[in-house]
Amino acid sequence: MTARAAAGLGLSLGVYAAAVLGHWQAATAAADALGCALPRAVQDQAVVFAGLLAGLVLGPALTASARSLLRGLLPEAGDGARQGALRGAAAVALLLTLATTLLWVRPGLDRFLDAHRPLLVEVDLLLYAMGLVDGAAWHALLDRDAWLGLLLVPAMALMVLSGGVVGRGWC
Amino acid sequence: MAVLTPCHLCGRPARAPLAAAGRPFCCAGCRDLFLVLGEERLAELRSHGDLDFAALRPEPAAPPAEAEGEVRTARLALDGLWCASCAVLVEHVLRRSPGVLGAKVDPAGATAEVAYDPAATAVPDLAAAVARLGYGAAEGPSPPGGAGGDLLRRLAAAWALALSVMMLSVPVWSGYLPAMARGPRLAFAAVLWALATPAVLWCGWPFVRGAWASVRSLRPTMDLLVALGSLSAYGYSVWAALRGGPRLYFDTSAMLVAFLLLGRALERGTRRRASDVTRLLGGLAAPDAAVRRGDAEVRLPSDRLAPGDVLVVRPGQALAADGIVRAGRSAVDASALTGEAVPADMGPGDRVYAGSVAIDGRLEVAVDRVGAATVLGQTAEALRAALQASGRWQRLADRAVAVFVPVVLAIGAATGAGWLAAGLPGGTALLRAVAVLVIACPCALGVATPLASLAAARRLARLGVLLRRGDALERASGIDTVLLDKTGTVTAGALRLEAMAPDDPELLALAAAAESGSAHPLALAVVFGAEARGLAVAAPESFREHPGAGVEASVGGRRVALRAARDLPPPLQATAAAMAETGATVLALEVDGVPRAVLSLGDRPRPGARAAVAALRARGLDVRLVTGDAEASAAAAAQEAGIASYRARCAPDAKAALVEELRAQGRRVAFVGDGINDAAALAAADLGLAMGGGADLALQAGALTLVRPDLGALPAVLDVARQTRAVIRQNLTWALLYNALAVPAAVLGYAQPVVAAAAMVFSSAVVLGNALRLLGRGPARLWVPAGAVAAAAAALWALAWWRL
Repeated sequence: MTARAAAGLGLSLGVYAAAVLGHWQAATAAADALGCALPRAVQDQAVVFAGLLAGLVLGPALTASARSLLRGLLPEAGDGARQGALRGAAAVALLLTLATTLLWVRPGLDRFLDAHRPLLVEVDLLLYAMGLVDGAAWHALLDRDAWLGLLLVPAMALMVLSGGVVGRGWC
Repeated sequence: MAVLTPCHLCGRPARAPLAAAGRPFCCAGCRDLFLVLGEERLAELRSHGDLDFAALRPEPAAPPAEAEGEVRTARLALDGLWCASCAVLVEHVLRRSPGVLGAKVDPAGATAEVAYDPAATAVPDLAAAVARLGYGAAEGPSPPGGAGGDLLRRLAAAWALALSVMMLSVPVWSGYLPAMARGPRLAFAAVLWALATPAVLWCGWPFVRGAWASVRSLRPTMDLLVALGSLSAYGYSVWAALRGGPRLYFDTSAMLVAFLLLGRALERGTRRRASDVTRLLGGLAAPDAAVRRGDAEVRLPSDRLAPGDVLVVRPGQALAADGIVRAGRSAVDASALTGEAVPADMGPGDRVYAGSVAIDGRLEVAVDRVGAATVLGQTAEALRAALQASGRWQRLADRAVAVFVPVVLAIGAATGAGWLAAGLPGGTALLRAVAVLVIACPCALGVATPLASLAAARRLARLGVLLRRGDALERASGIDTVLLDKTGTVTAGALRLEAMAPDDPELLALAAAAESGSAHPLALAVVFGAEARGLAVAAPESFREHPGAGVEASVGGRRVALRAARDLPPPLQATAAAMAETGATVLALEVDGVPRAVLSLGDRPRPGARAAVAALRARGLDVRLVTGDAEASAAAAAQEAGIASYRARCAPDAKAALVEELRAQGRRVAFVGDGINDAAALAAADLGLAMGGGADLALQAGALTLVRPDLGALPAVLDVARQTRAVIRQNLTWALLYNALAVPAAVLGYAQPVVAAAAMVFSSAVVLGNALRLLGRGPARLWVPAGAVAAAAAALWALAWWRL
């Protein structure tokens, strides 16, 4: 592993640790209790962002593995067709992970998560995994410009959130 | 009231039954199709396609059409072809349709090409005839990827949806779902429902259709079990979601479809390669030919040729049919069929074959075999049949499923009934019956063989070997005999100037100048040999080539001729005889009418061949050389490679016959070759290995391709084959063992949602992990990445749990 990749993964872990800090969790739990969704959404997006960083670092390896799998599935197809299939799958993965964002902005669900620590931890891990998938997907789509995903993912998520929870976002 | 006997094929009453193989048929069409398909394929066909066999009945059709009027060709894109038998059926029905002159179905491309008389029929009628069988048909090219593209779209969607469902199913597995407030609970259930619905109903549609056909034909298949498992899990989950129940199986239903589609996609590549072979062979023979009609010539498509026609073949043209030379003389490159590196001189009375090329003369050939009856056509048919045969292990898995499915269905039904009788509520009893179907769904069984093949393919790719057939490595189990082709395999396959006596540069320069006007491979070898020795090759002042006899030229005012080494003065004749004993082709050089030298031209041994043969023999394998070349040439090559046993002058069919003969003796045979002449033997062998750089057809026909023209990888290939066989066997054993343990647990009610999901994933992971061993990644090599992932997950979990 290169020093740059190690630094990227270290940064990812740091962002994740900051996103799940006890003080922040206490604040978002209080906001959840008041029915305010956006503090939790921002915290969740920070976790996704951390996963996204890791996904961008591991993107080349994950994309190479995906290409290898596609060579097995599409032995007679050209490189162009396989690249198209890979990009299609990446786009679908991005849309699906974005769509699930809506699940995490229901105050009732958030209150339930706050009350059940094991489930909350699992959700944090899943959000990180979603970010990882997003990072690999951006790499498959944009290659060297995949870093744009760092801007696009939070922007898209916040657009969804602001549309979905308008009126009861911040307390 | 008389009872009419039902037709064995279509089931309709047979008023005047025709008998064949002891079975009654209502018409000749049904009887003929049965004879084409056979009982086993018919049973398979009934189970996999939603077919209407009644459509096979003869139409009150016009007499067979003669292609006197306009003939058009239509291309139909087909939908719903599930297996090769489907293609046979569609082709059969199209050919029997009124106005159809010919039809060819490509199952891998999901297309049909139909030649028809527009005065008697139209494309919509043809599409309707196909649709009556239960398949979709529309005019136009098949969509990109054809049936395979559709399968891959379903596969990609299934995995994207199934993984999303799995990620969102954590509250279900962990048992928190019932504790949630009504709103979030319904939201979770709704999202899972929304994601699982397209996964089960669209992605899994091929299974549902197969299951319906299975029910209609009363023959349980794997499709039935898969469809029942996924639909039961899905249906129960919908019912539970509507009632606010705690247990949702949406993840299981979606993952089931995703796993099984993966297995189908991996298998499909094999069928695709089979259709490529016939396409390549079709392109080898000339598509049309000049036919003598009295004093005139007419050009006819090769499929309109008939025995008795006289073909006129000019230099550079390929023959479109088999026949006997009636007039003319030419060197004929028949390497495609005979393997002879040197073109043979052909004249009146000699037999020539379709696909051969006349090099330097004009021939008139009396046709005696056309189309599928030619040696080329027979080779194509042999290849097609061999390549479409299922792997033994896959067939074993299929047979296991044929028994397994009804047993599981019976156990599931008995479980539900038993628990109901024991006093459990109806919902719970149903849940346990569903659990049996879910947990018994043969995900691992479905992917056991394809996964091992895929892993072996990657391992072989690292060795410079490409896997061409999914079942190649299964068939390679226990190879004990290796047959090596000579030209292009043990040798490099290109002529070169080996020696000249006397070794006089001036004479060689004269010979090269004389040969520089010819494109004959022998002439090229002389010219390249002179150039390699640094000699300048002058242009001849005059040049004349005598096809099959040699060349004459005027070089620097001297008359130079090269011809076969016959009738030479004693010293040169002795030298020529000694050269010929080594298997070389010998030419005599005459200058001003006096024999001055003899030149020896031969093939050179491939580097590494001797070491590879030694490694194979060290593994206890019987290694033999087989070639279409002459005795002396074969003996020399065998001696150089360290091979004790050889067989010379083997035509393509003789090579394949030798393979069959050895197999009949109980041997398991690997054949290594590079030419089209080796294709039949490559396909007939338990393991066919084609040399990279060889003919396209050989590459297609071989189960494996050595990318680098080097035999060094051969021993390692056989080692991988042995390992693959072991892994496939272990995978199948594990898959069956898993079910033997898991099904009783489900019957007894221990298969809670989390247990069922974990068991299914664990079972598939074992199969996957075992297959990965073929990549050379044993458990030790997996520790590092697995440890890194586990450590990262533990760190993330700890950070989230303790929240600094």
